[in-house]
Amino acid sequence: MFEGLIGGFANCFDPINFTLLFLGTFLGLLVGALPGLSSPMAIIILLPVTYSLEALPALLVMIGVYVGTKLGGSFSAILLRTPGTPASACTAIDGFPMAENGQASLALGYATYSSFFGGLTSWIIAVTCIPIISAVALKSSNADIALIGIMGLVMVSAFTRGSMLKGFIGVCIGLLIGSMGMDKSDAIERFTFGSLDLLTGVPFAAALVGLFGFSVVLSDLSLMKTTSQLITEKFKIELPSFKDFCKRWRAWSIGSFFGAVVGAIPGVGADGATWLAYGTVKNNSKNPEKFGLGEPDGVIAPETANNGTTGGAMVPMLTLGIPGDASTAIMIGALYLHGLQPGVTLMKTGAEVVYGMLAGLLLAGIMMFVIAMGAIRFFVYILRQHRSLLFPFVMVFATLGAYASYNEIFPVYAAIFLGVFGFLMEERGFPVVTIVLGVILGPIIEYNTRIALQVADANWLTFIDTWPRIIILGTIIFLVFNEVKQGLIREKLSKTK
Amino acid sequence: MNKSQKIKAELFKDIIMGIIILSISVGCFFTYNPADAPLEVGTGGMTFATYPLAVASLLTILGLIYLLSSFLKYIKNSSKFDLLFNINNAVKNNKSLYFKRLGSVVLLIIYARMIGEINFFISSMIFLFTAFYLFERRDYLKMSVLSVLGSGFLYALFIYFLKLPI
Repeated sequence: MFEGLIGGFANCFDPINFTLLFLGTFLGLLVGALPGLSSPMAIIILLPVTYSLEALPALLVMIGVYVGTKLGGSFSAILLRTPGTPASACTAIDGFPMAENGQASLALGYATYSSFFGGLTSWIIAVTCIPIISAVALKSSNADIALIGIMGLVMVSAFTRGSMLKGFIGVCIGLLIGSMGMDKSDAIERFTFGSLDLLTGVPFAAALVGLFGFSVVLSDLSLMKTTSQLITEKFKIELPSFKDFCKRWRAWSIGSFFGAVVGAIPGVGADGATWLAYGTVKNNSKNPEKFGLGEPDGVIAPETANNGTTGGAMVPMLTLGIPGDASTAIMIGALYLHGLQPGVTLMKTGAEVVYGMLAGLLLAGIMMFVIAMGAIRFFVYILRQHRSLLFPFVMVFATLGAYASYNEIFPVYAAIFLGVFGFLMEERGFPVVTIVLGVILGPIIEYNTRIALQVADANWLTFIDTWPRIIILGTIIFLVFNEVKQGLIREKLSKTK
Repeated sequence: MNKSQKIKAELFKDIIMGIIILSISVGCFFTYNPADAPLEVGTGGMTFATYPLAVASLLTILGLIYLLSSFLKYIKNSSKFDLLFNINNAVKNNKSLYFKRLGSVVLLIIYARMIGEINFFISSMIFLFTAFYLFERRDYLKMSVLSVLGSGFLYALFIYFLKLPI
């Protein structure tokens, strides 16, 4: 493991890779600070830029963006009470009152310190867990992989925001999109509608650009007229003393724990982790009444949790091919686009990339800290710019992301169609991440199910042949029944109200 | 419009979405096999049709549950719902937003058509300027400078530096 990690760091210190990681982190901080532009959107913007790069440099840029957006979101949460990303909403509760009380610099300092610390803790956890889980996962057979894929879909549907019913519907639509084109086993067309373009299926880049790029632009056009009123004119980051930070060990340890653990659960993402951490710290505090009025613990807990999810989300992504959140879903797509096969075999076939990504994760955390300290004024300047100047550029990058994947117009049309469809789904509360996950995992599940059945002479009982399979199947059934039960309880409660 | 009427309007949108989902799932049964391939093809107990049909069946069931639950909630809500009034109201209040959304989609389609036909620099410049205008910017000098500089940057980045075949 250490050899692999040292190799990963060596790759990251390659001047080009290092520069790309730095630029990615810078862009991440920038995009994260802008309300309405989130990490998946930033990664989509970069998609066309990464086409001509090797897999590792391309993913390092994305890792930089992923880490940077986590802290960038807190800048606007603290200075404007408008979180740059949904996960930063929690930071605004105490960060903004701190700014109102004249402690904006200190609030930014707590956020920066906590983000760095949360990222570092979750990195240690990820680096420890990934080789162990990978070693176990490598022994998986086709039936295991199919079941793990189904479990990933069920978990995302269950834990993502909104109801499980909507999550499942999104997943099913994604599965159907993923099954379009020529069936790989029998070479028979499915859902091609007589179109030659659809013979190879819906281009993956088109699905990503449409669902995470165009749909977000269409949705965020409503933010176009909002203007940013800053709480202060003094912009610098004032780091708290190390002693003071250590005194608040309860907040950062709870935040780090929830970040790493919740981040590893597919579908929950940083939003859930930050609120859980904030609630737990508040409930365990000696002065819960101070929360909401500018309590530093109220900034530390969500920020450590927010960046803590970065390492956690890498665990299922790099070991099982199941994304922890929307950004890692796009990274899985990027792995495909660069010819790598995400999933249990990734550690075997792309160990260099995996270790490079892990090394990049730590370096991006350090870069995030340094850039934030040095360039806070620049981020605040960008915060003041009108979105009408930014969105046209986002649209150009997204269009090129789809076009340059095949050098054809068809993926752009597919992306626009999926963008409109994704926007309508999001408007009705269907999380589009479930659609993307269906597109990613669908072909893997189908292929492995068919191979498993071939090996077992068409005996479906092969899926309960071993204890691990029974446990996975049991988890799937439990999650479904639990969610149905919760749904019925919610329905009952709403009726009594 | 009071709160209850707003909820009813939202439930109506849910019903429309339920119908769209159900249409997609039912449509899958008629479109999964465009080449009319024989269904016995396949190995290991699954054919090429098993997976899409299983997913389409599941989606039909889920779509039905969603549609029925939305419909029942809609019926139970005793508020008055006037479809025409709601549409007029929504258009009146969000006219500019709807125009921007529709305009963005049309603009993207035109841009996609232009990329393959005319020079990337020129097509991007036209797109950027029109998009700025669509998003209600009226500072023409700034818009022009940004369009030219932005297109130049994109051209240099993608054509010269990254050598993408655009």
